[in-house]
Amino acid sequence: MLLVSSKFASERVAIEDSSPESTARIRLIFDKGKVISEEPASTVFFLGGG
Amino acid sequence: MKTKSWLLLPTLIALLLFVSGVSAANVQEPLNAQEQKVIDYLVKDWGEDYSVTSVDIAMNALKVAPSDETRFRIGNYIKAHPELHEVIRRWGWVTLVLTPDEKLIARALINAQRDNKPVPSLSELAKAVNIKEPDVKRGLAMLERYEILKRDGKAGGPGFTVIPRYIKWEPRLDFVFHKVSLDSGRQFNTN
Repeated sequence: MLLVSSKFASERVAIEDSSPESTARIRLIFDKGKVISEEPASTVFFLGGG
Repeated sequence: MKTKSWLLLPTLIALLLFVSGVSAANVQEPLNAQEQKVIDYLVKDWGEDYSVTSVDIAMNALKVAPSDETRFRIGNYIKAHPELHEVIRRWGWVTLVLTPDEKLIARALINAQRDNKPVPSLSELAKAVNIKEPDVKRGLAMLERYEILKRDGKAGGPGFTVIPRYIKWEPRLDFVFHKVSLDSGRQFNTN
């Protein structure tokens, strides 16, 4: 997330991930630092940081 | 008691052959030029942008033909050479050598064993990881080669148990992946 909002803030970035407690796959797409797609739709993520 | 000296020589030869066989199983042949290129790519990539890039991504970036055998040889080299890079020592070799599918298969088995639930069957693993059964079998074979799983005739499901070290794998990154793809085509894993 840090990279998405800093070094890659002007790019489109796809992140493939997974739920840590299961085997569910997660795919997020960011464009210019903002999320534009999330699969599954029930994905919960937190943006922010200090 | 008289020593039967004529028995000593064949026994000695058999013992030497056994010792040599054991060594051959543990010592890997040197990497070929293509495999070494993958190692060089990874050593350069690791640490850049928090990268913990895995072998499969590096092979893809270098257009190395997909091959479980090649991937294992490179991964086994990384496992045996933590002196190559701080990333191996800090995060562990497992996360660097397994694919996302293999990590998810391992997690499905680990979670079941940890929580004392029945071992998932081949079809249940395929469904959980969202891949086909032959790919689950390939993943299980790879996890066995890395000694993360052990064949166990008494275990349910596909007949493997998880080696105890991997039941509780945090704070290592072993079975986690965060794969980043950029429009430029660059792909890497972050920690």
